[in-house]
Amino acid sequence: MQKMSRRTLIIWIGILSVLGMLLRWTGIRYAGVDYENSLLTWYLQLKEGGTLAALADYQGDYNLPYATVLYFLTFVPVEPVISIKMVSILFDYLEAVLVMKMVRMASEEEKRDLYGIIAFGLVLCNPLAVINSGYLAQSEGIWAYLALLSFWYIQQDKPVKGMWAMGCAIAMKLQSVFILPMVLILYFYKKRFSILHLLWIPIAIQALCIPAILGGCSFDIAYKLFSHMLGKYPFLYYYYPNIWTFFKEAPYYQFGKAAIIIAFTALLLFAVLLVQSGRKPAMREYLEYIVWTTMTCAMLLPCMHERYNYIAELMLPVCALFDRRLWIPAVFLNLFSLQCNGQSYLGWEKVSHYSLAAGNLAIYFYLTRRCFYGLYKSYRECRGVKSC
Amino acid sequence: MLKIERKVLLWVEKHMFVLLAVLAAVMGLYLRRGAVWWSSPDAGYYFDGHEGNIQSGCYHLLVRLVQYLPMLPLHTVKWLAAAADYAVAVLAVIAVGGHREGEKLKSSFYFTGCILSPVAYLRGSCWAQVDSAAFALLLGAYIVWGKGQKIPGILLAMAGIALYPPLLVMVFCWIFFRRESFQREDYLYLGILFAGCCLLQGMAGLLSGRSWMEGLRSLTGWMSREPYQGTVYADPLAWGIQMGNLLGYGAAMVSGMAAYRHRISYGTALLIHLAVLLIYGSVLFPAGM
Repeated sequence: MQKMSRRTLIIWIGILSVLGMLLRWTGIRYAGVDYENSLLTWYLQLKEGGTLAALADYQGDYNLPYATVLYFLTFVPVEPVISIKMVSILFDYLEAVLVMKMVRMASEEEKRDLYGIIAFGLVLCNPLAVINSGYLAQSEGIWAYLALLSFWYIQQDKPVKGMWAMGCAIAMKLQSVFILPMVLILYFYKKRFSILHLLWIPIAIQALCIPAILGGCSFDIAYKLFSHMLGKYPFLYYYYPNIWTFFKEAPYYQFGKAAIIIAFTALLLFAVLLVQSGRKPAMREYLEYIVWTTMTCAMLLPCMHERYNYIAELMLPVCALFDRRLWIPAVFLNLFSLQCNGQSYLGWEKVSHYSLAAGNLAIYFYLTRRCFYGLYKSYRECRGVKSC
Repeated sequence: MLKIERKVLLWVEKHMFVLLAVLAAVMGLYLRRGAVWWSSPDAGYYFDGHEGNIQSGCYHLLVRLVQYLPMLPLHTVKWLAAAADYAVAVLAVIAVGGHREGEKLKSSFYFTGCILSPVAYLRGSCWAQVDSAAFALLLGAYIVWGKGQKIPGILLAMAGIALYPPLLVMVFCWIFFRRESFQREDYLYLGILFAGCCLLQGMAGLLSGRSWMEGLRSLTGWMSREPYQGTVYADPLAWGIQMGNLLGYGAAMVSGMAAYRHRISYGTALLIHLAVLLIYGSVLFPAGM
């Protein structure tokens, strides 16, 4: 395969960027339920307040850093439906560039440009990403980008930057903690940074809350909102078709803890196996591990929303670039989530969540099998070699 | 990374398997501690007279006896099941040979799986069913039988079946699928086992204030009668669900052991686990609860 010239590379990126924007532009004026009931309401309330003090009266359940972004958008002379979506769209582009860099690093020299461009296109033009930012004005692109950025920095032995990115991600949306297991596994596995680096996370969160604190919010406002959010929806199943779809009626106060422990155990077993396998994962394997760890959280934790598996849905097609066997799971995972989002937000015809959950579980178990068998094989090989 | 931090990490890495097992045991205990305060929709039936006499007489005796302990009766049954979960985990590791050298990773994972198995957790601590206690006795029987100690094996199996008669199916399966490993005199022991089971059930029936035959009937009554009302099943689906329900725990545990020993794939064991969970879920958390 011939290496692409820089000009061709830029042309392709330009074409895909325009296509990504065109796809999003088709729904730019669409006002979904969440936009009408939440984002617009908060925006108007912040606009009415006028000053930073409006943040102290903010009633929304998104965290203050995101509310601060909304507040600053009130000064932009553009319709809110466009300005709010544009922020998410901007992060979609950043995310696509970041994933492109990851894929370029993971690819062989001669395929680097081609795979990079395809990854860029897969992330930017993924129907879920398009609907999320372009139609629904949701901010999954923001936290997903920051979470992946955190992994990227930490993987490159830049823990301070990584922790700042992680702090920003968590400050934006709590579900970005789904990348934290991977970071902790890296901590244990690579032993290159100190656990004390994690302290940068609350510092970053606090730094992003400075405008809100200046506006009159209490010093611990970010954490108050986190604890409020953690107890707000006490349900095992909360619209994301995962294993708890089959246990919808189980009381959260009792079985929520069981769900958390099951998810924790799955991640723990993975971490133990990774450490014991003696394997030095390449970037492409790390990408697959990111998919598995984030999907473990979405499939096994309680109270998961339709959009919480966003990272896995975006990254699995990218992983399929390196292993063709992943194309079918990637396509189906995206189709299931598309259907789930569609019936929640776009009025699509209902498909039983049991079917979607069964499909998601089948994909999850397939990925689990791949990850665990791969590592177990390495463990056995490693055990057979004296130097290990 | 600090020096002390690295030292701690290396220590953890060195003792990872033991730490994993300990952590699993602690988490399992934490989960079960909370679960004893949750009652299943059918909890009220446990202490009723059961006119249909479907439950085992020995089980009835046990439930009646624990009412004299300084604890809520339901909690006592649940803690008994929880303790038995741990016994099952340890015995299962021994039964599959996980205690041997070179099996550390597999056996620590397997132990964790047994302790934190949603099937064990739901069936025992949540539902207050004593499958795990009976299964532990049966596993003990299997292990000592394998070591040539036939009489202790028979006694343990007898106690397990008396407590939970559906496990009789497992004994039959074991005899059928491993018949080449049985010698002629072994069948004499098995005859003693079945006679002993009948004797125990009949006596337990008498002790519970019922007739000998009524007590004896509980050995097989679970196959055809609904457990709480004692009516004969008329709906095949209801019968199927109940059989899955009664035999599910044993099937899940045995499938785990079989997967460990590569008799079946891990995927098959996982599917059996999920199917059992689905049945438990539909019975414990019916729609519109």
